[in-house]
Amino acid sequence: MDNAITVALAGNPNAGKTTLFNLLTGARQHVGNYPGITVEQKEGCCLHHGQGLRVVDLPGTYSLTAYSVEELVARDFLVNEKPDVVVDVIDASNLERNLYLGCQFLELGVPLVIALNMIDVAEKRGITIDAAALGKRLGVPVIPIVARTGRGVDQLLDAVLKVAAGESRPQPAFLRYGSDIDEALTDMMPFIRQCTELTAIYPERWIGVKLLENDTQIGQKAIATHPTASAKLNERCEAVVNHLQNTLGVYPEAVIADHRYGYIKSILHQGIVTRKFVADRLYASDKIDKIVTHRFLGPLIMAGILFALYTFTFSYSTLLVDWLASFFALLNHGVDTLLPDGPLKSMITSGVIDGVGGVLGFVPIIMFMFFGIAVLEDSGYLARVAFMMDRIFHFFGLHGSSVMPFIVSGGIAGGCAVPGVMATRTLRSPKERLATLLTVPFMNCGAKLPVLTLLIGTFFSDHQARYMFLATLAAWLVALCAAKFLRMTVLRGASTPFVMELPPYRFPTLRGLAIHTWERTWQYMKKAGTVILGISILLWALMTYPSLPDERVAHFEQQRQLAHTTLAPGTSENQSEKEALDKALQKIKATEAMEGLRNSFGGRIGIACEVVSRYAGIDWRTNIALIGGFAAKEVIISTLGTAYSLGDVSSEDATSLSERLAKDPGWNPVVALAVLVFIMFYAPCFVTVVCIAKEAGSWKWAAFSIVFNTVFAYSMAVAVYQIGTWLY
Amino acid sequence: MPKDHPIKSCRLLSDIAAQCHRRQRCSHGPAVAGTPLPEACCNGRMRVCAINGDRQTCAKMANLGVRPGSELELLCKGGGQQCMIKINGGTLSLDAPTAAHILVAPA
Repeated sequence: MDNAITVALAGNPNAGKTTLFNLLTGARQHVGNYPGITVEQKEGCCLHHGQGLRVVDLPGTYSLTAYSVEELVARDFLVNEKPDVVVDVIDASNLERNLYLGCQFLELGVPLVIALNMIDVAEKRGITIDAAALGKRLGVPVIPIVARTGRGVDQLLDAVLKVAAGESRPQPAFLRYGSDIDEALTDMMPFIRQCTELTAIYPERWIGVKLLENDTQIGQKAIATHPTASAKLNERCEAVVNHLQNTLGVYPEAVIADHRYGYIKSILHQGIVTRKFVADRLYASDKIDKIVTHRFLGPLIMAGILFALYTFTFSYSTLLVDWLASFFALLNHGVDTLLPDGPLKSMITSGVIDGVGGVLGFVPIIMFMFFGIAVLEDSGYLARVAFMMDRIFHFFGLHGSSVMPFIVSGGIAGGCAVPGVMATRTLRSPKERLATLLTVPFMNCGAKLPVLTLLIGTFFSDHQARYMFLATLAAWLVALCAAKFLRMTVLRGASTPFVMELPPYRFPTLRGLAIHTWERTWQYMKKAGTVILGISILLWALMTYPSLPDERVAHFEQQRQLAHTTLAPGTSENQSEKEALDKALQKIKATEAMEGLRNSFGGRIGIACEVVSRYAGIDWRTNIALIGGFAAKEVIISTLGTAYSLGDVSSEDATSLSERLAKDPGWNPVVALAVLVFIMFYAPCFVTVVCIAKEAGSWKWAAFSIVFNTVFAYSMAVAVYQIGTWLY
Repeated sequence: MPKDHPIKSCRLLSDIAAQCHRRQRCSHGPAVAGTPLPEACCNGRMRVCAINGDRQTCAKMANLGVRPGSELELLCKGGGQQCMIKINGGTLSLDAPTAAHILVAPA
């Protein structure tokens, strides 16, 4: 699509840009009822009347001044890429505030089309907007749409094509900002014109406004372009700041904002908007907030909701989990019967079925958990959780915006640390950001969930939901304490303010819930079928090779023959003798497998690590799984499955990993608890570590994360095991 | 104990009663007086008298429509804690230090 028209979707956070983007491009970008979901710009394509459109979804912003990363990303795209059309997606039920950004687009002089989104919500609230008259006053097309249903989107695209076909780019709108600012802008013009590199990109008056608004990016560019003129401009800006501070007690940006709002009000007060009810009346959403975020009731409701989520997940998914476990046991048995003994059979049963099957067996739990999280997110409740947690986060040296990365990483068990680490981009303070991205891996991500479920289900099955809830609380507590420790030591510094717009409560649509649940579950399944499969086979190879030396193989063969001659002389039909022979052969086979595992590369590494791990009650076979877990946490289950199926000495038939662990003499509730604690808090998986290095801008922090988390997890596990053994 | 220095618990109760019925007006000049938002005792409509704090806080507030003279509805707050306000049709969550920079008076 060489002649495609570039259309940028811009607007305030939570105005519905990504919903419109998905509708236009058929993409399935994550849409959440939570501001700041889109951090980076995303691209897609669509066709309208045979014309190709390259659609770019920009992060939500409130202004075009470089106060945040999102604002910088959006502005840089608009200025550098010069899209053919900018669609300002506006929440029609909140017109005045949303038009504030539209007003800045007009000042920047971009080819603009305004999409009045959620017009149905505005209508329900008794707000009627004369879109045609509004468009006439603003000088740009204004199209009412409902992005969720597609209403008005065709007309919007028609308007986009019409604006794109326009011969020249529109002139920047000329707004007056009061005598003080206007005079200063007039004085600044000659100096701005000297910065030719800047004026080639931005409108002259707009540069002046940004300098008065203390925009650091424009200020630095001015210094780099023309230091002398920049010094004069700074001088003039300082004079205005001092004057306004002395006379009105405000900064220039407040005066500029005042005049922008004045301009918007003057447009809207000419019969453009009519309201059936009093403006700013309290809607159901506000009334719910009064209860749900109440100082005392709020935390109780939050704890109740989380506990209900766990109860729902673990009560209703059990049946499906059991079915899947039986299916994989049956599959294992089938392969065991069909294939002859040898490396291929061993790889399929121990590497593939026990490995991948062990991970896939938890799909129902993951699905139920993701469904619950999708309900909370789409309804808008998660944003309220952030509001309530803000004070606690401040106490631990974090920022209110840290709440979302924590939740995404598995604050409500079932997330993933990789998007969690990436979500820290919304934090402005580098120290708060580092503290957040170093502590989010402590959360119980979707990969840890099966491990926790397995161990809790095996050793504490009577109170599964309660233990999972406790594990979540423990993860939060540890992450917050670790953050406090980091903020008091290596990342000392002041806290930055937290301001967030809360979305209204919305009834989640069944389609939205299904898409969110399926997206995340599919990601998990895909990972199991690709990465986990690969790592499982690799670890199987590590646990199988090198094989036992020939003399040891001959020794076991000799033992087998001895058993045949001593326990089944001739062709005896005696049933008890047959059983004794089978048992003896099974025991020899298991002992041989165990010796083979100890002799393998994986076994040798596990045994070497046991010198340290035994203080935490962790044996050499679990060590292999924990080392594999560094590649991906899901692998812990698959490796445990492989390690305990290869070295299984107690069972005759193919049994589930849970049963094998329960029967293993090396495992008991104390060991399980110590292993659980270690898995919850030790080094993040490899992908997360890479992500931390990328986001922190240094491998030093990634290495710190591995060492800090592992040392902490080991200390905790040792403490749990030693105290637990003493008490148990 | 002198009469104008009541014991702490009594002072708290009397303050609540007094503040809830006291009507403060914004001055027209540079606004220096007013109650910090987290300390506003009653939920309900307020008028912003002034916004203190650093330049960035003031700018961010202005962008969100929280400007001197604008009216807001205090939805949720705890003594000295973070606040939830409704302004210009949207709901904003403000942390305690930021909210403390917003000085208000009953509308």
